[in-house]
Amino acid sequence: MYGDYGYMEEGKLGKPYDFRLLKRLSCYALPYKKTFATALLLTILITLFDLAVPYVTKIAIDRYILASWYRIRTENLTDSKVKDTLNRYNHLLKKTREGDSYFISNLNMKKLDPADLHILKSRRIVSTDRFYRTDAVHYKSEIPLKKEISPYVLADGSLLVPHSQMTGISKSDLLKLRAGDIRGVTLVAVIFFVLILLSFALSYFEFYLLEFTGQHIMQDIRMTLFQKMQSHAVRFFNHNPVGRLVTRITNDIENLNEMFKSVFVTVFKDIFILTGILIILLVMNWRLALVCFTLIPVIFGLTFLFSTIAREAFRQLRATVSKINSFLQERISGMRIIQLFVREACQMEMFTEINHENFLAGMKQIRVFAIFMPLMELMSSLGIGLVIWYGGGKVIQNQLTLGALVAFIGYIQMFFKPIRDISEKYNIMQSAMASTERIFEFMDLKDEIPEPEIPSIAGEVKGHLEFRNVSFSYEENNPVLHDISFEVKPGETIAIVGSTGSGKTTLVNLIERFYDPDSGSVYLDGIDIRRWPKKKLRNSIGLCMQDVFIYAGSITDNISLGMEVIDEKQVEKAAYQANALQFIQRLPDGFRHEIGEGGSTISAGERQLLSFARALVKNPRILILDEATSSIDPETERLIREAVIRITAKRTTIIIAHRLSTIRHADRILVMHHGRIIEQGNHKQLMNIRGVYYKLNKTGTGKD
Amino acid sequence: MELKSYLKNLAHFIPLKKYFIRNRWAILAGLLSLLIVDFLQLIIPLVIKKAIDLLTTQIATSLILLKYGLIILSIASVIGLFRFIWRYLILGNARRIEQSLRNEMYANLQTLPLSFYQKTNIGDLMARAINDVMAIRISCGMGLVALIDGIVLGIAAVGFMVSINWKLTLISLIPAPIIITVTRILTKRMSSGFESVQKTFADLTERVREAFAGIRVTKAYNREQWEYQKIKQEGNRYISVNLKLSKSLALFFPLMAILTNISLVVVIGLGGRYTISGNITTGDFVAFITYLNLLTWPMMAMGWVSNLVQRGSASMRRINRILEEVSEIRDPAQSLEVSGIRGNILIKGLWLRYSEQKEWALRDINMELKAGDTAAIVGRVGSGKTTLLQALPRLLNIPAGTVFVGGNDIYQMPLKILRQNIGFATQEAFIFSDTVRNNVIFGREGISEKHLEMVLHAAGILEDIQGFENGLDTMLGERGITLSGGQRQRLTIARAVLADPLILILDDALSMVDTDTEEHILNQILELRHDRTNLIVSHRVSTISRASRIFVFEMGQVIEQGTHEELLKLGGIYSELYEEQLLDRELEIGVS
Repeated sequence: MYGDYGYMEEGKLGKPYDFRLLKRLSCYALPYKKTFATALLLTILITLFDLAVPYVTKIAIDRYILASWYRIRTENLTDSKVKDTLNRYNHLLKKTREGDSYFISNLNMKKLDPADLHILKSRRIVSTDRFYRTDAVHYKSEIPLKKEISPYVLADGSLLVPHSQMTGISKSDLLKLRAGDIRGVTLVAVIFFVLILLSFALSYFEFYLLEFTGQHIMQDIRMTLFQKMQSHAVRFFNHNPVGRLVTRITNDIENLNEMFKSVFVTVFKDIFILTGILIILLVMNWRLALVCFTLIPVIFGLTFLFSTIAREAFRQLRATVSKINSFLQERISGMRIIQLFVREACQMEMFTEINHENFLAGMKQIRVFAIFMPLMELMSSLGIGLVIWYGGGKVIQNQLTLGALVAFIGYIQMFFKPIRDISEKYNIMQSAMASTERIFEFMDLKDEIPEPEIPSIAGEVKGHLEFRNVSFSYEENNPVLHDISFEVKPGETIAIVGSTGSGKTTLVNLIERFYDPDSGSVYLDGIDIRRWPKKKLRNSIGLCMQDVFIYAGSITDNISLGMEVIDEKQVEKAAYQANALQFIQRLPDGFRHEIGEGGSTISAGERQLLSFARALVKNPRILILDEATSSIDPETERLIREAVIRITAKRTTIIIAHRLSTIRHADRILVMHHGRIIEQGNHKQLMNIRGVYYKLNKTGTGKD
Repeated sequence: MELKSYLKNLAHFIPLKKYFIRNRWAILAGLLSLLIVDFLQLIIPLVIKKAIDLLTTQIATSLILLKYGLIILSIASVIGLFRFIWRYLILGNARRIEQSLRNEMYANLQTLPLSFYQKTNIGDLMARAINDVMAIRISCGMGLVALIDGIVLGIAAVGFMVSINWKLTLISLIPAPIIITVTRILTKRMSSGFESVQKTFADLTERVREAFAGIRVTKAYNREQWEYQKIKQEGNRYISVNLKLSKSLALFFPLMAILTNISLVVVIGLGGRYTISGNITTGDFVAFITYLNLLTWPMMAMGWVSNLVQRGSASMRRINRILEEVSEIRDPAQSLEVSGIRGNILIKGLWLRYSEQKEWALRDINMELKAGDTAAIVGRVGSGKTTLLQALPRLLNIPAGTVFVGGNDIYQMPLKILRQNIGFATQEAFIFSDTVRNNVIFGREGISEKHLEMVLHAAGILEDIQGFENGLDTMLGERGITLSGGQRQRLTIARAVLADPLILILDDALSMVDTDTEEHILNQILELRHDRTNLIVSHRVSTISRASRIFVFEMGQVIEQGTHEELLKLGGIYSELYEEQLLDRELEIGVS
């Protein structure tokens, strides 16, 4: 459902479960153990209810609809062995008032040992005639019976009417006669109805509870992971493309959520139901149950086989979709090239081909399902056939009630869903485990710029900066700065010039402590910046970067960056100082104007002014301007130039420049090349030594 | 009214008609199989009923029971067979439609002009080609099945139930209309819920992306907590839309269960009474319950199907919008007979404006280049250079009678001929995930290995390629190696030069190569092309100065033109641009 954010992580699918990872995950679930326990309890109750449904039918049929009694003749009983047998079952038998014969109900009948039953039946001790048991009241007063047969009367006064008597009497009489059964059936229906309502309420709460817990656990993990990532050093962000980090925090965590829900449902509900069904079947009739169980290995075998094949088919399908995806992505963004080179025909051919691959993979999946789904239904019908044949035989032999037979059919139909569920959950588990692993990989990373152990307790920052023998490299063996030393006094403005890649921006990165130097140190007010608390250090610096990053939000948000201590007046003042007021006031909503993703509604120059305001609003002692290279219209250029002169006054300022015109006014100019400072001094001094700077100025003509 | 909106939804599917007609026999056979399955499915409860009645009346024998067991099994086998057939045919047809529709869509995309791609975002097009086409497939496949099943299985099951006892049927089906309505309401609510979950998820993703993309600012300004709060807020919003959705979801399945079960309550209570009173047999009672179970699916399907149709038709609408899109740049109705054209270019009074924009991108451009000229165009970002270059191969729509190549109005030339005669290396070097060879040859025929190597050498990339493990057959891009910006640019130049076009356009095509290398490459390329027309956009003085003519663009106009010396003497914009660049240039020279 969710597209990857620019990152398709294919292939890496691990084990469906890994206990080490699950254990770590469970730590996040710990705060929710109470809701968990409740959900589990609800699950058990719901499962019990689900299991009860076919059983209710059984009760209705056996107890009421087909309620019947069998007579046991004891008149001519001589065999002591049979007598013993009957004595053993004494608790199941009901004596007539006269005490001359016994009756047994259809429900109790199947409690007899089949061997005993066989003996009793073959000696005709148990009659095959069926009797209805009814209350004496109805019988005597209202129902006319055929004269020739007198009913048996049980010890409690109820009458047993032979089945043959019942046919042919009027419907209303029959209803009167069987009023007790009808009451029973109605009662079952009512109880069932109450259970339904209960189960409905429980199911609703269970689902909601699981979602609630799952969502909160995910949010906890997400925020922990985000905080962890955010605290990583800038180096970390250079190594990891943004898309990958975003995928961790969004899609991978979403996968976890899927797993959380489906594991809970699979592990508990489905397994409960499966075992529940097995137990009930065994209890109802273990012989028939065992016969039905012969199908189980086949079912599991088929399911396993299917899920393996289906997984493969699914993987292929996904692979072809992602192929179409990347093909389209590429062709659409390169459509110009295709049209320029008149390559439409051959591209169409390629697309048709991969689209066809996708079609074939889809057909393969259809085939797999078209075989498996009907096969499973067939297995279910096979089970029903078995129950009818073998179970029906048991019914004939009075070893199984008809209601139980119907319940058997119901349970067998119920058996297949959880199995299919479990095999489907396998995929989810697998991808969720892979996600979990990736998430923890990032959680375990340690890549922070450390806070000082003993922070300096210096007060107000004065703005004295010094580099002393600083060397630095982003990657090993590829040094960017070589032994840099220079000093900036409080209030001084220095400019750094040099070509792209000479190391100017790296200097800024070190001052901000985005990185720590490999050797040497940077000092602020004479104290190694590694001993300043990071927050204090960065708060004293205002940084304007080359590409101005615009947050989605209002102009005010983009200047104050959500700092509560800054009020509207301060924002306005900063905007004024940065020469940004004019253009902001021209925007439809002024300071409240929303600038979207990437800030497309304002020009590059205006962004630059905005970034000045952003830097100024916190009134920093040190200002770093990494000047924009992109060309901007002359009016904005003038505004920027003016602003720079105004805002650099009284602050320690470092200007990284590409245009000579901006740096001439600097107190000092550093000329950098390939990570070294090759000349430094003010404009006049540098002109006097007639080095690189001098040449630059000469060729650059004397303009400005 | 309901029906009207239904038909309106269905009308969007009309473009699919041809596919349905093409596959009509398969579809008919599939539908027939589906009907057979539905019919046989309804027979099974009857068999069970018969067996149970025989058991109740104590007529059944083991042999009879075996017979019934076997009957069930054989009916089930036939069902299985026909199930396979309908799944294969109907779902297969849906896949076929998906394939054809996607091909049709891509084919049309290829004809659409640059302006279309400028106003449409890639993600949206991708979503149409993947997700929307998928939604259409589902409504043509499972949607169709659900519709047929819902109607046939539903009506038939009810029919069988009525034949058992109409009163019981009537009463037990009281919940049915409720099921259908509730399914409709809930699925609608669920799909809007899913939509808002997806949207919030996208917002969350964007928020996280922003937090990481702006990490330097965040760190420099100590705003970590701010970002954290923003994400947390978005995360909480995500939780709340999920929980809102889950309220519908949590209702949906239990509600389905409860409504079927209420029917069951009726059957047990009332049906039990009927059985006892002998109105129906025990077998009828059991069969009734089985039919009730069979009915659950068609009832849900009826609710589900209208949703599928709705979603499918929304997707169809989005797809149709692309299929109906017609390019404004077309081959002329009567194209000129063009053969052996020459490479001279004449531009007369060309004004150009992007649609939906007020400002003119080009104002009254007049230029003349002789065949064999090498011209350079300079100007700031946004001054109209690229616009002009894109007008030449008619990537942009230009008025008739403004641009002539070889003396022919390009408006009258077949696009294919025009574009085949122009080699174009664009600003951003676009490389496809394919081999080096395929990227350069790009499907053109009759290119000898020797010629290929010669061109690669001229573009200064041959050595790099020979350094790769698989040489010319090295895979590039996503599943291959990543080239540096400079390497990519050199490769695209080779692609443009390869067919030795009459006109070569290099649009800032060597910006990522260092100055010395650029000079070297241009020397070789221009050597190869000394008798052809070349148009070069560059910011580098060294490149520009070698052109025989230089055009300086500003705000969509040519404001200066002449040779390098002439323009320097003029002391205008050109000389200013020139100075600006000297810093880097001189630093290099000054130090070495």
